[in-house]
Amino acid sequence: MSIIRFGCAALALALTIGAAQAQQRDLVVAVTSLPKHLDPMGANSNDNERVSQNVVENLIMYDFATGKLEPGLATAWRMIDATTMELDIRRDVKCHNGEDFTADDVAVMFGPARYNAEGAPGHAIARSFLGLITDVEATGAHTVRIRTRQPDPLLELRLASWMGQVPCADAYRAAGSWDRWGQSVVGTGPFKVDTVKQGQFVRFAAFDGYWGEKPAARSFTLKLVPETAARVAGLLAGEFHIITEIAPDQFRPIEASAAAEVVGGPIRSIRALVYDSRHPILKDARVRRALNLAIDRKLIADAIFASRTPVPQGLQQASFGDMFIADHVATGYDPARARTLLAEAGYKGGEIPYRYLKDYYTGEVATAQILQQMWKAVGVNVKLELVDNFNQVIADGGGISNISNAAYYPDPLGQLFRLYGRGGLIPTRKQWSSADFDATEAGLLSLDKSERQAAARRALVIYENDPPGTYLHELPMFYGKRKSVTWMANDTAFMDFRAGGLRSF
Amino acid sequence: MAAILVRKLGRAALTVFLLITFTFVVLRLSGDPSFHVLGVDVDQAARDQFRARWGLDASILTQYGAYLAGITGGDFGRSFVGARPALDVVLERVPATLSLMGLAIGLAIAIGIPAGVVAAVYRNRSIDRLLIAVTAVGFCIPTFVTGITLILVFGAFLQVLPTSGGGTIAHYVMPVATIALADAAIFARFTRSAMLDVLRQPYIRAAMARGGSYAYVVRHHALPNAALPLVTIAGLILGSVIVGATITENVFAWPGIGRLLVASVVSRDVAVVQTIVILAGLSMVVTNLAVDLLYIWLDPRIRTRADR
Repeated sequence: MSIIRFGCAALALALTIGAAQAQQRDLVVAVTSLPKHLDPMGANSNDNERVSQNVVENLIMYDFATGKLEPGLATAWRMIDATTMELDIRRDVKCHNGEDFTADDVAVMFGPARYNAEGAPGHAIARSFLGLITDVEATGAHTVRIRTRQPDPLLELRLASWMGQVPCADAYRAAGSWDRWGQSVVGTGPFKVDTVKQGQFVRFAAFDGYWGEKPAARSFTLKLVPETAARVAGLLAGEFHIITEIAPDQFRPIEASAAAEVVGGPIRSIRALVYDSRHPILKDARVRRALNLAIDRKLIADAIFASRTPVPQGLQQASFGDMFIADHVATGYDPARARTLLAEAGYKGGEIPYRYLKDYYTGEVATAQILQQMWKAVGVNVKLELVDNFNQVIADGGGISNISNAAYYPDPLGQLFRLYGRGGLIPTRKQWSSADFDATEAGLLSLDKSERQAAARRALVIYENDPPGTYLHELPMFYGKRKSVTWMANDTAFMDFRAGGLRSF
Repeated sequence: MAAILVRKLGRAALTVFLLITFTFVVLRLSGDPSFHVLGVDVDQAARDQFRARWGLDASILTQYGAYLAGITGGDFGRSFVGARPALDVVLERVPATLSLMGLAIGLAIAIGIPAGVVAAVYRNRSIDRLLIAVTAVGFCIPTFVTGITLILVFGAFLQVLPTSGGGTIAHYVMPVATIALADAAIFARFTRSAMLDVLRQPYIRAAMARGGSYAYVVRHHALPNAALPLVTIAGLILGSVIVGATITENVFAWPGIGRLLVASVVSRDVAVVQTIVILAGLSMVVTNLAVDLLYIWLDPRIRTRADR
C-alpha cells in the first residue's frame, strides 16, 4: 500500500513539476505581420483578430468547439424587452492593471469615449458589427443594460464575436491617446500585453490574476518572420511552435517531418469576386451571370489549395447553423449556358478589366490567370491588370476585383448582408446595390426564425440572379505546428491560446 | 581646396533635398495607408477618419510643407504604429544593422583583398582560376538564395544554428556569411583587376630593378597604388551600410533597419520609410564625400590640380 502511495505521490509530483515547467515556457508563433493596434476596434485585420480574446474578453463567449454561447465577462443575460438586454457582470474579474472590472467598464468602453459616437476612435470600424446598439448603461456595479435601435436577433452573437470585446476603462483613460492605447491595451483576458517591439515581436505574458482557468503557456510571442523558408525552417528546427500563413506548396517539407504537421482549414470567409456594375459591359446582369457559369470552382479549389477547401453552396457557410439554407441551389459550372446568356446580352467581345494584387490572397495571381482562361473559353475578353495597391483595385473604371467575404458572426447578417446590403462595403463603394436585396433586411432582423430563413433564402437567390460577384471557394487558413503542441485552429483568424485552446506544448 | 569642399557639400545638400522630395511624392502616390493599417474590409468613413487624424486629407503641397518644416526642427513624423516618433523607431534599429554590416564588411575585406592580391600575383595559374571561379559564384548568387540555402542546411537539416532573429553570436553566423560571401567576391575581383593594372606599370619594373623582393614591391609599391579603385568600391559598400542588408535581414528576420524598411513599405508607414530613405541617402552622400576627400589625400595629382 505504501508503495502505491509513494508511486502516486511521485506521479503527482512529476505532473506538478511538468505542469509548472510547461507554464514557464514561451509559446513562439512566427507570423508574417504583427498586429498594428491591439484594441479590436483599432483595425479590422487578421493580425489583430489573431490576438483578441487572449487579451480582451467578450461579455458572452463563443465556444469554437461547439458553436454555443457561454458566460464570459457576463454570467447571465436576458431580454427585458424587445430592444433591451440586461447582463449580470461577473464579480471576481480583475483587469491586467489590478483594478476590478465592473459594469462601468462596459458602459464606458461601448460609450462615446471609445465607440458610441461619430468621431469616436473605434466607431467607424466597429459600427458595421455593433451598429444596432444605441446605448449601454450601467444600472448597478455589476449590471448593464444594452439597448438596440430595433429588435436584433444577433445581439448575443455580436457581443460574443469580433469587436464585441470589452477592455478596461480606467486604463483606457490613462493611456492618453488612441495610438498609445493600441500598444498597451488592458483587458481581463488570460494574457496581458508584455512587450511590443515594433517590426520584431509582440509578447503577451500570462496574467496571474485571471479569473478563469490558467493558460498552459507562461507567455506567447508573435514573432515577425516574413520569409516563408525561414518560418518553415524555424518550425522544423524547433525554434517556433507554430507558424502562420502556410500555402499548399509549402505543405510537403512540413508533412515530411516527424516533428511537425499542417493544421487548419476553411475559416469563416469566402474568397469571392466583385463585379463593378457601373462598367458598361458588366451592368447587364446576364453578362455577370455568364461569367459565373463559366467558372469551374472545384477545379480552382483543387488546383490552388490541393483539394483542402470546399466550394460553398452560395454565399453562405455551414457554420451558420439554422441559418444555413441547405436547399439553396448555387451557380454551377455550365459553359454552354454562359455562351447562351452572352449571346442574349449581345456581348461583342468587349474588354473587361480584372484588377488584382500580387498574392494578397493566397494564389491570387494563379487564380486570376485560371479565371481569365475559363472566361476566354466561353468568349469573354478579360484583361488582367496586376496593380500595386488597393486604391488602384477599387478605383473608377474597374471591372472585376477580388474580395474575401468574412463572416464575423456565423449568420447571413454577418457576411452576405453586411457586405452587400444597405450601408455595406460594396454599395458604399458604389460597385453594386439592389433595392430588392436591401428589402431582405427586415426579414433578416426578425426575431422569428422562419422569417429570417426566408429572407436569407431570398438574399441568396438575388445574389445568384443579379450577381454583384461570385464566390469561388471557402478561404482556408493553414498553420504549421510542432506535433508536441496540442492546439486546434478554429474557423476564425483568432489563435486561441486560452486554457481550452492550447492544452500543452 | 576649400572651393572643392564647398562645391561638394552643396551637391550633397541638393542630393539630400531631392531625395526627400522624391521619397515624399512617391510614397504619397503609392497607395492609401489606411488600407494597410485598418484592413481592406473597412468602409470609407473609417478611412476618412484615419486620414483626417494623420493629416493625410490635406493637399500634398500642404503635407510637403509641414513635412519639410518638421524635418528642419528634427521632427521626422510619427509611425502609424503606436504614433511613436519615426526617428526613434529607426534609430533603435541602427545598432543591429551596423553590427551585422560591420562584421560582414570587415570579413569581406579580410577575405576579398588578400584573395584578389593572390589571384593577381599568381595570374593565370591554378590558384588564380580557382579564386576567379569562387568569386564568380559569390558574385552571381543572389543573397536570398545563399541565405535560404544556409537556413535549410544549418538551421533545418543540421540544426546547429538559429534560423532567424538576433540576440546571440550564433545568430550572426549565417547572415554575416551571406553578406560577406557576396561582398568578398566584389573586393577580390576589383583588387585583382586593380593589382593587374598596377603590376604592369613601369614603376613596378623599376622597383624590381632596384633589387627589392617581389613581395616587398607588391606590398609597398603595388598595393598602395591599387588602393584608389578599392576605395571607390569600399565607399559604395560602406555607403549602403544602412540598407545594404535589406534582403538578408528579411530572410533571417534580423531586427535591423532593412527589415523595418520592408515592413514599413508593406504597411505604408510613410514616416518610417521616409526616415530610413533619408538616413540611407545621408550615409551614401557622406560616404561619397569622404571618398572624394580620401582621393585628394591619396592621390597627389588631384591635390595639385585643386591647388592650381
